[in-house]
Amino acid sequence: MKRSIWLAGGLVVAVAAGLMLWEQEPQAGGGRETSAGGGSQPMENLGEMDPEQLAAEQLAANRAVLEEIGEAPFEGPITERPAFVSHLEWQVLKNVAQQHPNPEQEMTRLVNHLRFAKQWDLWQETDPQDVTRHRALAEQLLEEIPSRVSNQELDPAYAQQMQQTLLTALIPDAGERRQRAAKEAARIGVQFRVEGGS
Amino acid sequence: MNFPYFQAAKSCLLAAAIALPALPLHAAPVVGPDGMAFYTPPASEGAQGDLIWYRQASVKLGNGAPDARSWNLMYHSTDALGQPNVVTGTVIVPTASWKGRGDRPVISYAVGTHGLNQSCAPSLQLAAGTDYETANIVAALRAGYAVLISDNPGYTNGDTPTYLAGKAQGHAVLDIIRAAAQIPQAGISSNAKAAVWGYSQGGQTASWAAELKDTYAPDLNLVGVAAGGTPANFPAIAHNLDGSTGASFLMQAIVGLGTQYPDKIPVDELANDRGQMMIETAKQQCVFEALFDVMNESISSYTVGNQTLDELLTIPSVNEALTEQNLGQNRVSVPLYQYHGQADEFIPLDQHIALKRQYCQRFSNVTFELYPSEHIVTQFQAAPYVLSWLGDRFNGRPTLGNCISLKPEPKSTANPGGGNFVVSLTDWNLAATIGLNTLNQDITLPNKSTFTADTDMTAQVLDGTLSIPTFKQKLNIVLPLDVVITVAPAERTQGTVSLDHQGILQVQGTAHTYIKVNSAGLGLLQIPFGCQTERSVAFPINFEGPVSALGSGDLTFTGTTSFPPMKNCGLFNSLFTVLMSGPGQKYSFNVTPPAPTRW
Repeated sequence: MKRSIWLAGGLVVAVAAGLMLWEQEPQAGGGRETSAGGGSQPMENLGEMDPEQLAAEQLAANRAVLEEIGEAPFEGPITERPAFVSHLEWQVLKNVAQQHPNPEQEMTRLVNHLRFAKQWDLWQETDPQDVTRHRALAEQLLEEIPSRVSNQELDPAYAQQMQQTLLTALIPDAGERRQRAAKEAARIGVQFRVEGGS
Repeated sequence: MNFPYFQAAKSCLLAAAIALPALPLHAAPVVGPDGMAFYTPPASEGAQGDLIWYRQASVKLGNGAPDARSWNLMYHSTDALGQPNVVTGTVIVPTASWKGRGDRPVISYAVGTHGLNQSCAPSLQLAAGTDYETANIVAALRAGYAVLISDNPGYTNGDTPTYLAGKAQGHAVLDIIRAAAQIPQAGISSNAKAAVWGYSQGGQTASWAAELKDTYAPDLNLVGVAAGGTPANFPAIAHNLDGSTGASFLMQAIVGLGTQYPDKIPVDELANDRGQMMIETAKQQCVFEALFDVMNESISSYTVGNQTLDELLTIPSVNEALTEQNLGQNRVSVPLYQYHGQADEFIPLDQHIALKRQYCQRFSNVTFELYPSEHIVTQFQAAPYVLSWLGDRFNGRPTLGNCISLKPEPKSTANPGGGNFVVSLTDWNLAATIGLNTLNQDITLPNKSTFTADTDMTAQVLDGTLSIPTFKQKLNIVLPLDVVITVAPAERTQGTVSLDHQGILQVQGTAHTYIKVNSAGLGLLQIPFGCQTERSVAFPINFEGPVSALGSGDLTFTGTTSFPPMKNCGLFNSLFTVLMSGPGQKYSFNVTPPAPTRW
């Protein structure tokens, strides 16, 4: 069932990509272009890719976000496509950013948000038995949540829910978890009293 | 009747009259005093419609009102028994010059129930910015017309309104047209085309004015009358109101008609102790406070020996006074626009339809339109339709009316009386836009979106549902892709609703919907897609404003909300989350009742 949804989604966007690239001139990539794994294709060839190729490239880009663990968010203009951003996503984000009064700043925000969203999706899909990856992703997400709140990408209430979910998986001890939750909440401007804490 | 008390009161009034400033007989209009002294009639004589005095006034009409000048006035008129009386009112004239042909047309706006206390007088409420009918008055001013608002008889100092004494009210709204033309610098011509427009009590007033025009005011250039929610058959209305949500109107009618016809309706003799208390309380209240105060009360709990309404109506003088208020005994010589809410819970639809038939049988030119909603909503929903119809009359366009109708007679859809006061919004039009912050794009809901709700003003509970058809919206994601979006209701729209003593409506609730991307593609080639917000989006629906907003189109809920992350978007879930989720998403929901139909 889940696989069919993924494929449907991939197919939809593949059709979209095909349509988009049919009408648009290929753009020369400026600066460093980061490969998004085995499925990556130059922009000029995207319109010729079949849906399965596009889906494969997208899957590879989604997995590439693992390489971002431990990396700080982007600052300043992003001129090269990061590996975790597929060609299609790159084009969509550029289109969206162009509508903004400050396209470069908006592009940076969008890419950082996409990285966070992919890491969140990946964390939810990751088997908790894969402790190293699961913990690393959780810590990375906790670290970035305040930035996502201050950028108006998450509202504080939802952000706090995310923190609770992540901490539940990360810290088995309830007392220790409450202490950490209070600290994390404070980072997004939410105050609450810790009861029973040491 | 308490004769010693009555005699003492008469003596006091006589003494007061002697102490009043005297104006020369048939004096030229003078500027009246400031403050409440304006409401003490000077000793003067004059013909009906003669201006006694006037003064510049300041009225608060709220946002959207055009610049206008206004005056208070006091003028001579005639009560229901044919005796001279004096009436106060307000004249409002747009500052902008009249752009149409001829003189600026005049609308004599006949107000609905305001309440028996002097502070409820329209002239005082307009000055205070608390008049609940401001929306209709503003609509008429925006059309460029001069608007004359009679207070109705009985709001001068020391007086009691003769509420629902139809002839007196009809006289008052005709005479104010004559009197307004006498105010220096108001720019109102005595030959100007004039119309009378009123709803509820005002519908009764307007209908009486229409019937009386030929005999009482043949000099006026009356070109049309609009009368809505009209109480035409008093015994029938009394039965509908007794023990029902609109009981306060019946209680006020007894006080008002008892004041006009003290010999026929001897209130002091008929009322028991509780009734006397109710009367004194009613005289201190304005319409919305009274509405809730005696809601669902039966008249039998206020009468000596707990006489029922039917028993009271067997008293010949009472019956006579009530039936004297019945309309339809005369032909109306000007075109008449009648309108009524099919769900009117206060004034029965069928007796207004019967009035239409009576007028039609007398070869009057009648147009009847049926509105879908209840009493208060219809009062304000009708304004643009009424003004359009009156505009045609001012412009000299002929109307044939619709006395001949092949449609079946409409049946009332009113909520049952005797319980909570529930204003039902059935299949109201929902016009909404939902902003997508990151995409800098609005989603506009399709035309057939509706909101259905019961707003229980007694229990102060709002409970409703949204209905939004699937629709196609192109998103600024990857052109030229068509994305089929559904804004799917997630749970019931619930909250609180209240109507305060000043007629201020307060709504606080939340609507919940999922934002779904059902499919994407081009034209007929649409690929199904199960992408949606992982939780429902909460849209706060908060409103505070005049109750007229229910019908006037001003019931709008705006704000910002937060969209949760997306789910089931396949390989592109993160991308859709980035593009569509997050806080700061602006929305605007506007709800309006369905359009009227002609019957």
